[in-house]
Amino acid sequence: MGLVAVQGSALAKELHVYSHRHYEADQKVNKLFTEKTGIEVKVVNAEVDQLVERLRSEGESSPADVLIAVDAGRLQRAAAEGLLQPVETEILKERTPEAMRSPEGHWYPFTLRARVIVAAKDRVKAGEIKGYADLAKPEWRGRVLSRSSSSGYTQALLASIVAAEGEAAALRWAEGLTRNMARPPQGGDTDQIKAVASGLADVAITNSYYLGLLLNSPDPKERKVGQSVAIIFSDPSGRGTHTNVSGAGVVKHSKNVDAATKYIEFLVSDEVQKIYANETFEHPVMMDLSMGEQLQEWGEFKVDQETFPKLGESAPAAIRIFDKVGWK
Amino acid sequence: MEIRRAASAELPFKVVAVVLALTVLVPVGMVFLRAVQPAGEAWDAVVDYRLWGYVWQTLLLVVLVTGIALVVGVSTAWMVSAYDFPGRALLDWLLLLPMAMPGFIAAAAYVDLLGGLIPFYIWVRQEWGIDAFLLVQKIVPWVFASGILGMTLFPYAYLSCRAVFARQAAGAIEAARLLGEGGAGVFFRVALPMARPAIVAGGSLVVMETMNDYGVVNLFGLVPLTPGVFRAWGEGEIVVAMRLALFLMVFLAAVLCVERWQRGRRAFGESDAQGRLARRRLGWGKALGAVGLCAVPLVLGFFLPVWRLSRWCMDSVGSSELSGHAQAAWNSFALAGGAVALVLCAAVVLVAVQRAYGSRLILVAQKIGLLGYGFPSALIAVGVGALVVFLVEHVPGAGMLALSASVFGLMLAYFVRFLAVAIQPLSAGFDRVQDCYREAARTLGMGRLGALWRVDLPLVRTALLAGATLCFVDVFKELTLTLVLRPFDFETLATRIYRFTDEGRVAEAAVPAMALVVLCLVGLFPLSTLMKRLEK
Repeated sequence: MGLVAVQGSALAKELHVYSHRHYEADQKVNKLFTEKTGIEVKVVNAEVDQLVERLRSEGESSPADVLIAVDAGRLQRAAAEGLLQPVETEILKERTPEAMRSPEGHWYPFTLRARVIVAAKDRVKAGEIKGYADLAKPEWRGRVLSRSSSSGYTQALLASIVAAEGEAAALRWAEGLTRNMARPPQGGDTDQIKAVASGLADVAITNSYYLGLLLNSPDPKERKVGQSVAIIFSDPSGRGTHTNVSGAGVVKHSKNVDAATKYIEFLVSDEVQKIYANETFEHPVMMDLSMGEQLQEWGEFKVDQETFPKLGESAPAAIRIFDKVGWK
Repeated sequence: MEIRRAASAELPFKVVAVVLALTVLVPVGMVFLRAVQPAGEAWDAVVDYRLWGYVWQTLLLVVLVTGIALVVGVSTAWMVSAYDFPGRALLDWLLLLPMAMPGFIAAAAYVDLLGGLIPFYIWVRQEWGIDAFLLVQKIVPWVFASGILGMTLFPYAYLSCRAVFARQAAGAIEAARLLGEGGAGVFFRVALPMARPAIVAGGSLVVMETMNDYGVVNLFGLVPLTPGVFRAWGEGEIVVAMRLALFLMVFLAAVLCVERWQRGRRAFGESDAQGRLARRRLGWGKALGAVGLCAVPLVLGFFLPVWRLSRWCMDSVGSSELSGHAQAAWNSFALAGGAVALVLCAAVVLVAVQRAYGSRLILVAQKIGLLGYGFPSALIAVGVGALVVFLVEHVPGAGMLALSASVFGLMLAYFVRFLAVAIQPLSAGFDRVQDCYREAARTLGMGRLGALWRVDLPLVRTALLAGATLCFVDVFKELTLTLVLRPFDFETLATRIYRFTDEGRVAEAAVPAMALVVLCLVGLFPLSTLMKRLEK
């Protein structure tokens, strides 16, 4: 059995990736990897919870080599459950921030995703909103938009508040924000930005790259939507902006550990980081803003690294809070 | 001697019939078994924060949708039955079309209109302030969801009342007319009371479909029980999901009890008059009103969605998604084909063999088989899902099984839900076949099964075909069960349309959506003839 496994790894011509990401840029990256290494990348796309469920039920017979998720909390929990295996290489250690990767090397981030606030330029004065806390204040009643609590992005944001300020304070914030919503949550982040542009609401919470996609869209209408809002990175003098990651880990029962590790190293290489910075407008994992014009324009911001390691463990409390305050 | 041989030949069929009947009960049994297990904090949290919302949303939705469907269905049925006006014959047939428009597809055609309402909301805020602004936004999705479901489900009420107005109640209506009662008086004082059992029968189908809907409510952000069950299921709270599914079951059981009770009353006051109701000619003004009354639901429930979808189809010609569509279509065909084969074989055993041997046991099994159609989809889904999980966990080599097990689960779910769809036409078909043919064949020395195979089945082949078509279309357009139970990374046309709509990519959903509607239209032919016959 051991012999077979070794042989398999030496001859690896295929790499099986279970991924939550499905942008065209990802396909481009995978193709590039094949060109460079001759290893073909086979991707199974689905929501991360389904992927994890599948890893669980497949156990040792799983064909998967790499798990890619877009939420640190999900990766932390997958690691805690023993679905990933630790790998450590110099490249991975050098090219990922220590505070935002698994301490044991179960998974590594390869893009950063800042959860920012966008505000209508013509209706919200600069400086009127400094951070997430302002969105829950009574003067914003009927003016705020967020996507639903079933979204991993929303859950992670509240989890970060739970981790920083405790469950009771997080509950008060969520209560205030729910009261301030201009409509019951519907649609994705792009829909929230569009609704602010249309005048339905004045501010919205979104991942920054959705704004980047609008600002750089081939459709002039979408560009106009993007230009009508200002981007606000939360709490520069305090905790900073809640920033999640796209991360990848080697699956526990992978038969191609070497190829899988090489793949994750490839994801954090300059070449790939540049593709993401300019095509999906996510932030490079080492925050090298010189990689993309749009990112330079937005400028530097403070990443909330304090709550980051606790995103996974705080998620259940966040979900309880959503239920309590009726955040759909 | 002969009797004993028949009894021993019958035994295998009895065993098969009992197994089939038990299969239908498996998901419910699974749910009952698991729902009593401790659910811990998760259930308490659901009771504290979600349950009441699920219940009132379910009730409100059912009341709204059934109300709309009954008002539209009964009034249009009355118009085409009691009056004559230009276009009447055409409308009589066209009014069935919304049945070929699954709710989630109609919703796809309307969902972008919801976004178009933003200027209206802003206007409301400027004119009436922020509270009105928030209130209007809460109401609008309800208007859309209940309107769409009502406009696509009203043909159930239409079909069941149409036959009563035209035939069963014809004598009484004629008498009332002769006694000088006006149009409205005849409708409210004679036709409506006589059609009550039919209204309840059509209405209970509407209630069932509404409670089983997942696509429409989810697209408009409503959360009644069915999406609640799936949310708990998705969160891994299996016991919670099952308890919520039992709530649905209680709702449906109550509805079916009312239906039974009303059907029992149907015996009263029905004249056996074979004559058809003479239709009165309407003047120009009134005729225009009648055409309008019938045309509005038809446009909203069928032609408007079709028109919008076909426009998007033009836009998406040459899109890169076509190969994905083809794969999904193939999956849908394979699933529906497999399910039809299963269901039809089972129905033949339960109906035809029962006739051949006159077995009471098989008759009981047949009645149990009919139950499946009344089970809530959410309950079947979680019951079958739990069974699959159980099998995967307790069968070695679970890895590979995980995939095949979910096809197995999907088939089982379709079987439970749609067995009745094949049993009903088949048993109606047999009701019209006179025993003398089979008896003649038996007298000429044919065995029971030989007579069944060579005499009975050829005589009911239309019914078999009707059952197969109905079942095929039902599986093909099924969304709720398929979404939950489908194998990983596996899409049918229905789930693909739903996903695209949910992601706001309606234009790309248009091609598969139109394909599905066309297929459902094919399913209308046996359905309309069958339902009209059943009403006779």
